Amino acid sequence: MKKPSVLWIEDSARFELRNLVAQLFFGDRYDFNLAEDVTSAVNQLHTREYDAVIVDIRLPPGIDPEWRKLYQATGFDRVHAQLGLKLLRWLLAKDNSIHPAEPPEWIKPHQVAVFTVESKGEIQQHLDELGITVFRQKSAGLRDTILLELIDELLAHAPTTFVQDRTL
Amino acid sequence: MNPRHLAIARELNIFDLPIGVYVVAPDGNFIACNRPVRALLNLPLEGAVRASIAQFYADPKTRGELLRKATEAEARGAYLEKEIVAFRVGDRKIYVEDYCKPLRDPATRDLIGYIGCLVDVTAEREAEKRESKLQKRVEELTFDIGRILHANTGTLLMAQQTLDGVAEALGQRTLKELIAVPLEEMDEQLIKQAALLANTIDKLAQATEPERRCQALSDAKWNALTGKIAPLRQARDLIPGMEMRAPALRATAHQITTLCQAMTPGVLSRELVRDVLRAAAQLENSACLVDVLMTRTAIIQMDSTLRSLRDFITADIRVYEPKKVLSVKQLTDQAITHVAEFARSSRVEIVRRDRDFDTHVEGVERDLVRALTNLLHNAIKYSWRRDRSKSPWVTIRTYAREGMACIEFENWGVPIAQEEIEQGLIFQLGYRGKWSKDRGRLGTGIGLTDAKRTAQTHYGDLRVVSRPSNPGWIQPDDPTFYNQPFVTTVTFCIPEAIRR
Repeated sequence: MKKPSVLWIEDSARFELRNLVAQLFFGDRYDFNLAEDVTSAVNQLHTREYDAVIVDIRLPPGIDPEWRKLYQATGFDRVHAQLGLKLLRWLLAKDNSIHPAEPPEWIKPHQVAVFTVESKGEIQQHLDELGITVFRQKSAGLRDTILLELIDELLAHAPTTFVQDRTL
Repeated sequence: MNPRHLAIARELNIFDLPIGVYVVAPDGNFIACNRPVRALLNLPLEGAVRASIAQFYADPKTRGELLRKATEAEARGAYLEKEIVAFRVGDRKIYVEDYCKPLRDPATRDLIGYIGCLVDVTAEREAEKRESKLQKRVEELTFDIGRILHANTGTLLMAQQTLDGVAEALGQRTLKELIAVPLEEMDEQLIKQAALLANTIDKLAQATEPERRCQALSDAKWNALTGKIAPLRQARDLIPGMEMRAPALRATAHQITTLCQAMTPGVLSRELVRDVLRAAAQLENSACLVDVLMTRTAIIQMDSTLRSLRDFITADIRVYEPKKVLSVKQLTDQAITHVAEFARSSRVEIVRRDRDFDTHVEGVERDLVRALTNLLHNAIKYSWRRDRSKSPWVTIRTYAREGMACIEFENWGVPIAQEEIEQGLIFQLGYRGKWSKDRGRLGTGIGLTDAKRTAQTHYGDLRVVSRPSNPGWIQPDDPTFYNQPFVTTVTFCIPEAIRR
């Protein structure tokens, strides 16, 4: 059976959040992929379809000039740029004013979760507008299985049924 | 308005003045007032005014007080001026600046009223109130942040020392010895141990008949166990970067231990199961050690960042420290001492190229040490390893040139983009360099801002140059231009002290 494919778009995955991915790389449940900036994420999203996409809000642009321009416009500040939200708006609301390229057709709100340091209240309006229902806030005290939980929650909404076997 | 009053108003020609002017009887009833006063007090813009100024005072007692002051001023040959009075006009509270003096009959000197000007200062007054409130909040916040950061520094120290103990216990060596081992070497060790663990599982699987496996472990668990063999052997290729490898291997080793512990005792070869358990424990131990050492480095880095943030925020509320004549060598030594632990844990060497040089500067010791510490901390933080045989290093040079004492920090690693230097972005408070997040580095965007300010308040400046270590190797328009190592030189210059 095909393993569900997962893309986590997160620039802190390699360092601060490295313990969250520990469960994923060697587990045989998911085809896990990581993008550490918006350009890499867009490239990966164009290359193939994912069953679950988890997005951070504060993201660096990567090397694409259009995303860099957006980032530059906010003074090179990830906090104010909120490129993750812009990426989601481009992907789900097909807003070409954000980036002139065509977003991939396959992506739908039920495939997307937001995992960020912002509180839900801060971005609720954007989530509602985009139809995203799966959200977790990054904060101290989170279990190291949080990423697995997010993926499972997304996959539970998926039209395809994936085997939810968490036994070792 | 009676004819006598009207005559007074006309004689004074107050109606044409572009400022609010009023004349009131001793009881406060308006004798006359011009358009700006009418608009201000929401009175009819034309015609007679049947109102008293007394009805507008927010506090009725204020009028008596003002009249007393006006009379006292008159006795001194002056008049009441710039008196801020709160009025209530309808539901709205407004503030006016009142200028007023008594009006007397020229013949008898009897009081016939008061004449004055009103200026609406509500907006200014509200802005002042907002500013004062804000100022108070900033003061509270500064005090609170100082306290919070101080408390957090204590917590970080506790965390660091706990990690020191854990690292020594896991590594079975002193911390000093553990820190001396390059992380790349530890990573190689992890990969070997992962392959060894894979071999022990493989051996167990090969040596066990399928029916005995079923007695020892469920099919799902047996598959989970043997499913680890291939990824353990491909650890290097499967996980990009050693930072994520350690926790992934740790979690996997732990899962394998759990699976082995779930086996029905006495069914499988005890010796082979013990080999798997031993190899898993060794891998888990080593992976934990790498993880602990990396976390320890992050904590030391965070501690230094918090200290400089606290110092920066509380700079205005500290006791004034007078300027002193200070030795540049001693200032540099102090900065090195402050970051020594961070340099050790980051495995970065500090190389001084100024052993015999010293000069003196005049300044605030605490500020200068903080500025130099921040610059050195940045240089360490943004250094890359140049080759496998040698640790990364930061070079410090001190020299005097044209009456300026210069302290130069040079590192090899993370670039600073040319436009960030040219536009002065790197000196903006809170600005984090485009590439500063490289390899998980933490920061606040305060270091360079504070160092530049400190240099300038000491009549000097800060210079930053960042260039590719191999110029011409990659062209600036190439998307990978900033992926190559840069040599960054930050020079802190302030005037040499005049020897008396």
